[in-house]
Amino acid sequence: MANRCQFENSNDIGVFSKLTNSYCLVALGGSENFYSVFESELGLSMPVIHCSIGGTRIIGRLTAGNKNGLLVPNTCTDQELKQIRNSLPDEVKVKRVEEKLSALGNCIACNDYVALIHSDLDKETEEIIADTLGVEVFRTTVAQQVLVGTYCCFNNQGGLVHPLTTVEELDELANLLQIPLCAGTVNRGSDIIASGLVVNDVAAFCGLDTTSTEITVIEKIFKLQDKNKQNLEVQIRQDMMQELE
Amino acid sequence: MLQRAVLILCPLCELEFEPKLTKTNICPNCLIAQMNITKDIDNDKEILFCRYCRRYQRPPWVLCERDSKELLAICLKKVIGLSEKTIIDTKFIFTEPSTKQIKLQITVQQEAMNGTCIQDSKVLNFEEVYHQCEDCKREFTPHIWGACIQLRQRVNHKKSFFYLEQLILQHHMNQQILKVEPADDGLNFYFKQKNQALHMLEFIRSYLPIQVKESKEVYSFIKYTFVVDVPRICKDDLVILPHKLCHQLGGINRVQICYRVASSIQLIDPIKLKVSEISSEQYFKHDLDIRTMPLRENCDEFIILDVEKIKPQKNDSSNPFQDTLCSVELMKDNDPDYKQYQVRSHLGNFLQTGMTVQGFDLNKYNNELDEIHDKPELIIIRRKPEKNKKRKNQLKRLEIEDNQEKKNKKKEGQEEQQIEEFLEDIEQDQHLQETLNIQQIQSQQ
Repeated sequence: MANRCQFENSNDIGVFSKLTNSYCLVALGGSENFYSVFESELGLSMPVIHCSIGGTRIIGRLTAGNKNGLLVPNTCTDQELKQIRNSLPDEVKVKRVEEKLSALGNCIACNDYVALIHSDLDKETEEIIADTLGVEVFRTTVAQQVLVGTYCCFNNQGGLVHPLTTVEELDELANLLQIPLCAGTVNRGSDIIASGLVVNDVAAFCGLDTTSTEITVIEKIFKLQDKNKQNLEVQIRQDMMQELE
Repeated sequence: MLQRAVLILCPLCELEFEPKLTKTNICPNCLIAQMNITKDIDNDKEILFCRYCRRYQRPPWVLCERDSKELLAICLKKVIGLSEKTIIDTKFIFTEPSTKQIKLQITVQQEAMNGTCIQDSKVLNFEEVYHQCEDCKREFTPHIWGACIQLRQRVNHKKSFFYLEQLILQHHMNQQILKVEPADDGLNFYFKQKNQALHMLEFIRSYLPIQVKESKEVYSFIKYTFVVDVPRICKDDLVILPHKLCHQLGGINRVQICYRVASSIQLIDPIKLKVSEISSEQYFKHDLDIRTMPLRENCDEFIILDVEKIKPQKNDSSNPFQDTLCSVELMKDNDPDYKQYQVRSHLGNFLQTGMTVQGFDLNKYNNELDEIHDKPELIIIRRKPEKNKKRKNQLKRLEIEDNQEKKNKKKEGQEEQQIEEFLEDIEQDQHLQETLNIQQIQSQQ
């Protein structure tokens, strides 16, 4: 189920939070509203961790992770790293990566099985990714953009890419990722997908500006619709048909 | 390898479209709706229209047809909000002229975000508002003229003005005159602009000696008035000059005859038969001291008994009357004494025995001419005109507005008589005939 929220009046949710299947990271300093949206949706099963990376709040764009592990950039201080490691569940491996391109969230897009990375990332980093996150790594571009982490966003069931992606590219990526992909926008026509949207297998959160069309597309492609709600829709339709008859 | 673009759903209207077309991620319809480039083009402007002369204001008042380029230019100039846009097309939508509405459909193009160009059209309304243009305002108020020439000559007759009138007609100088009004002692000419009046002044200056005084009245425009004085001396007048002027002119006699008035006054001494000239400046310096005796009031008639030509002692080539000097024996008409006089005259070319002539008898005026010792007894001016002569030529007249309510019959009669005398003058004087080009006047009948 896709929810709308704002972090301190900004619709860029994906900048200030990171959502995976086993944990959720959020930035410091927002109102309690923001956290309560996450907590109510995700329930008690998933820890919602307040942290900062290198003193900044843009944690969503600096880190990359899935249920197996989390990668943080070299700007992350020891104290912060310690705090994250303590808060996360024991199964999750946390690793600091020494890399020139330190905004790992912009360079790496991943789910629990596959990762797409920036074309210029080091070989060493690639190996760390494969090792920590336990994924298959591919160097690609999305819509001729090297920042794959920004322009596409996917979970284990589907993915959303930049609107200017060609059909051939879309097919190619879908093949690599083995999941259905679709092109779309978020936050009223913004094409920077990952900054406006965080998603895991059961929930998605996007900015307040997102139109209902975009929400529908997101729910469809990431397969977030409630089974109960689906049944409800069918029931309503049947009742209406009866009345018209 | 052809790369096809992916269709996405427009976030605003759920329409499937290619995002490459608009470089933003909303469909073209939503883009146009959002952008609305025609919003800030003002509608309902007014253009000023003068209903008397049917001209539009631009700001200069121009005459243009309903669906013309000029009207389009005026309308577009009035519209605000066209600064960043390029105009692709304009079209006049038909409206009845009586509605006073002009409808213009314009198609504009503007660059939106991300480099896309949006094109949209809008219908603009213009209302014609009645407004009187400057020229019509001037015509409707009594202040219609911008310059006025007040021509004055302090004599009892209007012969100079007839002469001037004929000259004006002949040279077609009357085209720029708004109207001509008579006044005591003269005429008023009204013009629209100062330079037209100055043009007329130069024209008059070349035919009559004049003195001009300029003045002006300032309203929202300026009205110039030129007071023009013509000397009292006319052709065939006896002139008595003051001492000072005689000395200035080279010690001539005080008693002179004016035989021609052109750009200066030309005099001839009846005794010595020498010619001299007074310019207009010289005249107006001594205006009060010069006395004239016109021929009409003081003429006497004489009969010629004998004419003898005189050979001049010196060959004076500057004297136009050199060849025509003569000595004449005269007798006064109706004189019981049958006294005979011997007089010198310059009119030798047409004086014959037995002819009746008109002239001045200076013996009559003892009181006035006492102080002058060197005066002749009689002066012959011209041939006596025939009475009730049939005129071959009728003069063409200038249109003169008469403001007087009652037409004074006496004045009318006087005017007719003066016209007769003027025509007589022309017939007798060769020079005048040449100046006025009598053939032309005759052919204008």
